[in-house]
Amino acid sequence: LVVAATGAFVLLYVVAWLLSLLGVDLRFLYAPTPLGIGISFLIVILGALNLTLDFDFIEKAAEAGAPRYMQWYATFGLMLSLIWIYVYVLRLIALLRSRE
Amino acid sequence: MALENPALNERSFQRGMEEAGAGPRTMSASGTYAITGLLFVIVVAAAAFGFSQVEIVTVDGRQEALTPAWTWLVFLLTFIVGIVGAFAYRAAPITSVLYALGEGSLLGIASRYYDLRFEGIVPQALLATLCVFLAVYLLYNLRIVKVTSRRWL
Repeated sequence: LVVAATGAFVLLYVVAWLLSLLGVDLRFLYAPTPLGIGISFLIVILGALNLTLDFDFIEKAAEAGAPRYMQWYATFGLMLSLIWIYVYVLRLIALLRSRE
Repeated sequence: MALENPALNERSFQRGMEEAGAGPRTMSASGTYAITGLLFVIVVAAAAFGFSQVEIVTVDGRQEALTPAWTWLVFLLTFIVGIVGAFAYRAAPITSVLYALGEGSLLGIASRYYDLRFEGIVPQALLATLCVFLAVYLLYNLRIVKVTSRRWL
């Protein structure tokens, strides 16, 4: 479910980007409106849910005796989730503060 | 910027297991978190560098940020490294460090832009991210949140 939701949001952004190249106005996604803020908040929550998947991966892989280099791979995934969260927290705070 | 996490999924895991072979040294959770700490330091260092490389100029009395010339090159390279890193498990020690350097500097540049408009936003976002990480880590390890949507084993 989390994977599907993540995929859906990524798809949404790709579509939004393509449409914006064609000149369609999709600024409601990033605007400091309740909707824009709500969407950003959801994306941060989604990032947090992805973190649980990463923790789960680390635990299961360690239990199963995965090879040593998988430590780096798991870290790579964890890093991606953390960067995701940071980027959207930045955006969320920016939206909240531009309402002031 | 990587907006997805294609790296950790069931297929990757199975392939990782198949490639495991007979190596005597295996992965541990504590080792993984130690590496996470190391990569975090690399990302922050790269971000500090990226942050410092953004030039602030004043145009018509307004402050504007100027992206360093190498931004798009780094963006492209980081994107490629990210894709490769998601599939090349054995190369993970190299790709993850390269990715941390590239993405870190990009984050630094983006942070400078945000900081120009919203002063002090970077420490706020860093703190929030850290809190989310710790909170989720606790929730997961105290088994308050159970990961049931996927079972690898």
